[in-house]
Amino acid sequence: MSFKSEFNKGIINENPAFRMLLGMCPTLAISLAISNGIGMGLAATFVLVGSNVIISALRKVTPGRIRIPIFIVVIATFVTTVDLIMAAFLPDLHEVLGIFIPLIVVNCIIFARAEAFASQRGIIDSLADGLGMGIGWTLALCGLSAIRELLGTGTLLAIPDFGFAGIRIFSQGLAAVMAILPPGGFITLGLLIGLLNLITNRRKTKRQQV
Amino acid sequence: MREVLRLGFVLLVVCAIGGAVLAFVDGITSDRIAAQAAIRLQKALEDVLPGAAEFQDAEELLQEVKAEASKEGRPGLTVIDKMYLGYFQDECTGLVFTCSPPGYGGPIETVVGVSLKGEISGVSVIRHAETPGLGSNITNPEFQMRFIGISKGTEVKVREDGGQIDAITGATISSRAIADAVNGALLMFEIVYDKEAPGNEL
Amino acid sequence: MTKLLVIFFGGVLLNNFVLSRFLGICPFLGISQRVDTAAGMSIAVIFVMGLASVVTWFFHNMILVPMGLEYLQTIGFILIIAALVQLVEMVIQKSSPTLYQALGIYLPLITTNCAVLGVTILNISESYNLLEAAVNGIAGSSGFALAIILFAAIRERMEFSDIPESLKGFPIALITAGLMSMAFLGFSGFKLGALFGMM
Repeated sequence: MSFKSEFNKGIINENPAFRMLLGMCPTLAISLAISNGIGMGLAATFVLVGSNVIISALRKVTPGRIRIPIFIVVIATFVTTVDLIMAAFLPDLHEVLGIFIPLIVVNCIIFARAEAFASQRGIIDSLADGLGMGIGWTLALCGLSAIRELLGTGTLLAIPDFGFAGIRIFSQGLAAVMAILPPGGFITLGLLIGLLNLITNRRKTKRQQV
Repeated sequence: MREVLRLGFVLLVVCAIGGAVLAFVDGITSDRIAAQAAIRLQKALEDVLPGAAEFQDAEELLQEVKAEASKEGRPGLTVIDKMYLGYFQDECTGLVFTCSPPGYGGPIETVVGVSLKGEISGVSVIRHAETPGLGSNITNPEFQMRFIGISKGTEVKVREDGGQIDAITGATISSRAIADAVNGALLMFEIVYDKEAPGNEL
Repeated sequence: MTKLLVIFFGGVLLNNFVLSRFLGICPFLGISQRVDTAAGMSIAVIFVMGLASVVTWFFHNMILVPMGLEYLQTIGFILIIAALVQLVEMVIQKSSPTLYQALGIYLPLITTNCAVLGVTILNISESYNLLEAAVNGIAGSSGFALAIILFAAIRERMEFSDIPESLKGFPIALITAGLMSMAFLGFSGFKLGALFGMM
């Protein structure tokens, strides 16, 4: 497997949010605005790449019986690093993402990649895998956030850290606030995954007919 | 037994390295994180009391007034958390109050500025847990502007309660909370102003 | 007392951990096909979360704060939770084989349940005292239990419904959860403080 294919699989075929259904808590909780999605996604990507590389580098010297606690320590170290750096340089985003930054520690995506991939593969492959999974998750978050932000507030791309109120697509009076409330998160994600399934199913039947 | 010791040792080494890395990161960021909170506060205070450049925490005076007020059974002051005196070139230009009136989703951290003339000079919301899209509109400058210029001696209420402030559609409770904060700030200002009498050390 | 009641009912109904705070979604979606497994998971979570709230509270206030090591919170808490889960598993295995049979398979899954780490971090960020932290832990996990058991009951019935092909499985589960969350939204805005204050 090449770097490219390890990278690509995370973005589409094994997309962690839409295909593997991992890391649902932050996906649902913070997908209120695209800026949140990018912030959360990049934070998780940093942790994913970092922990994948370190775990892969240590795979030969990690005793199998205590690998889980070692993974936890490595991941938690990266998470706290991100947490502190965000608090120092992007305080508004840090405030919005709040508890979900430290909770990256228990994000199943990172743990799953450590256990299923990085602990068995080389450093370069693990780097590609981490990067692909991270960016795939970021894209999924941004897609879901874009839908919810647009439906719920009528704007796109609001970035509080830079005092940018976003591009208004339609008036606030027309916005369906429910989209950015908790139920909207569940329902939007459900329908989105359903839509993706529909597209894949259509393609499959077409291919069979041919 | 030796195996257990070996595993324990490996784990200890990993933890120690992790701890050391974090100590290093904390060393770089801690000053900045502490400064961020101060910057936010300073910015919030400047926003609501334009013109003032320095702010002084007046905790003693606040406690004194609160104690007197509770003795006399005067309501409306419990929302006030902190009081700051705003200065411009050593001259007091007004008072700023941080308040936390109860909203729909919990307390709403609000900052209210009152100029020395006894008029509301600015309102801003620092932190809240109101419903996104409805109550969260209290952070909207357009809503906050509705309070500016109200002077002491006026009872601030939303129109639903027979007052003068137009509440946000679908968010009367959140709007009412901000009105409570403004009201508390005006009451407090009046007491402090009378107590310290015009022209003295304020 | 009022504050404890507010924390408890707030955690179960107003700010339900699963349906409005989005904590513990993975087990909520993953282990909710049947009511009995959901109930087993819930009991294990209540147990671990209550215990973890107390232990991490001591760890934070007796060790981290005095030594100025607050930045080790995340790493320390997750290790404590992992160790606690192991310990609980061993104790149950030794003392009550029947209970172990019922709960054993759920225990390892709890380490990565973000509701557990979430509640311990919330306890600290809300600066709760020991009792409040313990109540918050129980409340959060009871809220989780309520949500997952109700959800499992719905999903059991859904097995026989006619669902469009592409919505089968996770999509319909998410939509169902959304409708439940909408129902729980009806609790928000309840002035619990005022309610219990009058009592």
